[in-house]
Amino acid sequence: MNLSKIVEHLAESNHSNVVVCFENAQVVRRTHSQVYLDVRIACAHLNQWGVKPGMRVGIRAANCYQWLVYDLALIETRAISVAFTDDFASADFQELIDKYSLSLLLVSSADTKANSRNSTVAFLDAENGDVQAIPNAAVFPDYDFENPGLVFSSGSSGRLKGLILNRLGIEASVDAFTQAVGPQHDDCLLLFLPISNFQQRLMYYSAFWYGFDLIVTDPTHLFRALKDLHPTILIAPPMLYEAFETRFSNLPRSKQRTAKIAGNIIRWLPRKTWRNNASKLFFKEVHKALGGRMRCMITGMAPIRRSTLTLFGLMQLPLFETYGITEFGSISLNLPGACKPGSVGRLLPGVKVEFADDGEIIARREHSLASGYFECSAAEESNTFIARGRVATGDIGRIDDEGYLHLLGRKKEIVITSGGEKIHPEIIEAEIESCPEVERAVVFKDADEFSLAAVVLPRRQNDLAVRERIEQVIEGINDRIPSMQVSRVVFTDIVFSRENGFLRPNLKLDRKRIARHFQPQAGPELVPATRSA
Amino acid sequence: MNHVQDLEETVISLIASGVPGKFKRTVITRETQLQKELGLDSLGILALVFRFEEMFTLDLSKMKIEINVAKLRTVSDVVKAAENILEKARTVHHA
Repeated sequence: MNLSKIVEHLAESNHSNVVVCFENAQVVRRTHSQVYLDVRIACAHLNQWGVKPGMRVGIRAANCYQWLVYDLALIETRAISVAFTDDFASADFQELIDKYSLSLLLVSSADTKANSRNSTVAFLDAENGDVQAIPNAAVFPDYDFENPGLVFSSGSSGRLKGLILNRLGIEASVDAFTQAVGPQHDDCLLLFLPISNFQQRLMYYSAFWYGFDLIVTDPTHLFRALKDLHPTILIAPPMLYEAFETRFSNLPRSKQRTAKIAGNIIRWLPRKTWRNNASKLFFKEVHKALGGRMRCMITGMAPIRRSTLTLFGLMQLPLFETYGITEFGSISLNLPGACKPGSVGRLLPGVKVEFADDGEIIARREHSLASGYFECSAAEESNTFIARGRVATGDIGRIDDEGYLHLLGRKKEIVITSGGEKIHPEIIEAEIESCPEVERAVVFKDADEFSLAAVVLPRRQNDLAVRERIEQVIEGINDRIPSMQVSRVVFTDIVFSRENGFLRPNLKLDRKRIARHFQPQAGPELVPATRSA
Repeated sequence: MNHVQDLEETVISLIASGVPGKFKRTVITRETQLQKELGLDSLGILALVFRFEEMFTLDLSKMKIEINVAKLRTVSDVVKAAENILEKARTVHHA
């Protein structure tokens, strides 16, 4: 694709595809031709407000059709979009304008701060009076439109990072994903995560360039959109798919057993259409809840439970794990016919990886999605953006003989024992979690520096027999792997969630916080894993 | 048993169907906290709201009702929200 020409392409391609949104309780469908016309109107507004190429224009709004329209209009105008995530929800308009050298800020008319609007703030979705973009000398002109936008991403540290988008990297990412998934004109992709998260924007660039339908909604309408609008492609965090598994596991045991037997019989039917039809008949409720046309479901952002993948496989609902980071773009993806549960799939077209001495995955492509950080120290930037197109992911991994990428853990979460042994806590956690009575385990270096401590959330609370069995499992692990001695186990009934701060916004464990919380129960001191470098 | 108790039971049964395994043994009362005691995250609560809409053949957006998931903290909050929704549905129906 060519991002600079996406609006032109929209006009020329004659796709009969549509963008579907919920507006005022109605389902509204707009063809790509209508999108083109709306983008032209938005371009005229931007021009009238004095927006020029190279000016920075902020967008702070929830998912809506106008977000897409103005994003495309800013591309067409060659202005630099600055997409503000929910993290900026409470910031004042002027604060954003000043801090990010914005010439204009686009907001929703429903914004809680809409009353304090001034002439450099325009509504995306309502009439505007006097609006005037302000020239900003602090911003350098970008004549080749190399960096079309700035975005924010919450890294594994939980701290918000500012990323400078790279147009060539965006184009390479869209092409790689589209080539791998192969959406057809009759496909329909559902987007419900915030568009301010750049991954979602990549998806609609792909829809507009290659021609397939798009549903844009917010999480509130997710379940209705799934059921009533019949998407064929869904990208969602593991928690959505795990919610389906939870409902399944709450069925009476006899029903679960019957479903598993039926699923296993269906799996052996010789033709795919037979398998699909039989599955739709037997697992009617789930297929119905997902709209009945689902062709490809993708998950990432955090590890998904193996049992969830198995259940979806049993129901002939294809669910695949992917891996990528905002700095680089998508790296790998499991796909129909090239899928290995437990891995994050084979590398996407054009992507290569190499491994640093400590096993860190270094992703390579001619152009990465971002060309660097802003609001970040030069050292941090050079640690990640090693060279053009080479990005250090911070993840430790390996590639197996068949080319599937496996993630082993985060580099900075490696535990180094006093003996110099490097241990990935995730490996031990996976060992402990393989016990069916364990819901979740988190492993730390114990304060004695010689051994490890584990915080364990059992599936059944306050059952001493269960606790004893889990302890036996851990002893078994200690016997099998002498270098990994978990000498202390702390049982808890607290579920790790974003709400209680034990999971970061990107759904990864906040190990420091967990360690701090469980310190008193764990005895002398729990030391969270330290950076290995 | 009156219809308020019926509704409470219906809501509790809907909630119970979405409770993750490790909380299955939690006795659900009006005071039970959805996230802390039943492990329901924001998506789990949205799914619950949608199942409620399905059960009563309602469309909250058509009724111009916005559900703020962050404000649904306890079972009692859900029961009260359900009562309000059904009351509004009855009003609309009779109007």
